[in-house]
Amino acid sequence: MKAAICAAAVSLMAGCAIKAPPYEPSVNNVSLLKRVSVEPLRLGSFTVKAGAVGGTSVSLRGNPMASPVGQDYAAYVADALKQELDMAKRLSPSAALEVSGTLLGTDIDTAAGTASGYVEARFVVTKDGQVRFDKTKRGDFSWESSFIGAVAIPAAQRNYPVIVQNLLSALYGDTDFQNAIK
Amino acid sequence: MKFQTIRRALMGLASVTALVVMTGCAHQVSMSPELKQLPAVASKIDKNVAYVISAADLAKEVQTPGGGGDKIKYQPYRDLDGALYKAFSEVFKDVTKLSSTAEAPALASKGVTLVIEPAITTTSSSESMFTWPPTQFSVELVCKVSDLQGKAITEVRAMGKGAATFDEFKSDFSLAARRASKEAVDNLVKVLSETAELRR
Repeated sequence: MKAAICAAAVSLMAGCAIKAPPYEPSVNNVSLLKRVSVEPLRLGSFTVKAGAVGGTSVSLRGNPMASPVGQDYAAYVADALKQELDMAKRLSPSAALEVSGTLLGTDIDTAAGTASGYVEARFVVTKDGQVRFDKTKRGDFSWESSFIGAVAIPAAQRNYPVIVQNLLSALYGDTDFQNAIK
Repeated sequence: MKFQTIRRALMGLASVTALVVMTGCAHQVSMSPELKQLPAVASKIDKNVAYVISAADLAKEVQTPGGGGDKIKYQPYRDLDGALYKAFSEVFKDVTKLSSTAEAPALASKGVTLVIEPAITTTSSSESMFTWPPTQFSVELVCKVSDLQGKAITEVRAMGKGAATFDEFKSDFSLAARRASKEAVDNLVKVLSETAELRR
């Protein structure tokens, strides 16, 4: 009976993709932004570098995980930055300071025992056409995993926002970035 | 054509491994709601507030029932931290987060006048015998509000319930929990903004 239900579920789900969770703003990141910035920022373009690993889909043991916003994970990073700037009251579409980005890669290794993931992006801050900051930052996170897919896959899905939180924490914590947005 | 059929079947097989029950397992979900749209507050309360979530609460993991005899696990305070910050920001002039009420008196110089201690209670269930994600979830938020000296001012409560069917949660195993959290946070914004004691 259970095998029949599983087979039915397989046919129903063939080819379906799971989605990364919506980004969860980090209160620590928001508090840091409030401390280090005074001037508002606006978002520029966020794109995926040609051929970047995980640009449009991250594989979790064969299950493609898509971004819940936009068409790719550059849109996810842009949305994350936008949410935290907004919560810190540092977001303005008319701001002179602009931050843009290029996703260089993102992936999750759902190995049994310890799983890990990363996201890497290049951020550029400009003001009046002048580049004030141009660096590559990376967010990493690892967590306890399992050889059972039904445990490992949801855990990997759940932890993706934390990887992006760590990317933005690395950005806000960079003194060059802090100086660029003053 | 044959290759595509085999590929689809393999992808389906991989997908279903994420959903079928594995008796005795605890599957991780998240309660974090979508935060882009919270209820509009007609007039903000012109006060700076601090809210307190201890390090122990932030790390606390809870297990409640999923489907087929399995359990789900999640961290209510970690998952709702950003949502609570956002909700308080919608209602009050400014928000600071603390890890202990003992830190509150030092915030007098920053104009903080109220301290909020949130408590989160959850339930979950599923009618399914064969898939583990919850189909029903509930969240209750209770916020004790006091002044900087610890004198109680009021207590507000907000409830949220969320449901998700198989067709909906197959791409987001946490959907029922997120829906319940969103409703609870929306209700919290409404209740806080309508509580007269907080405007005095």
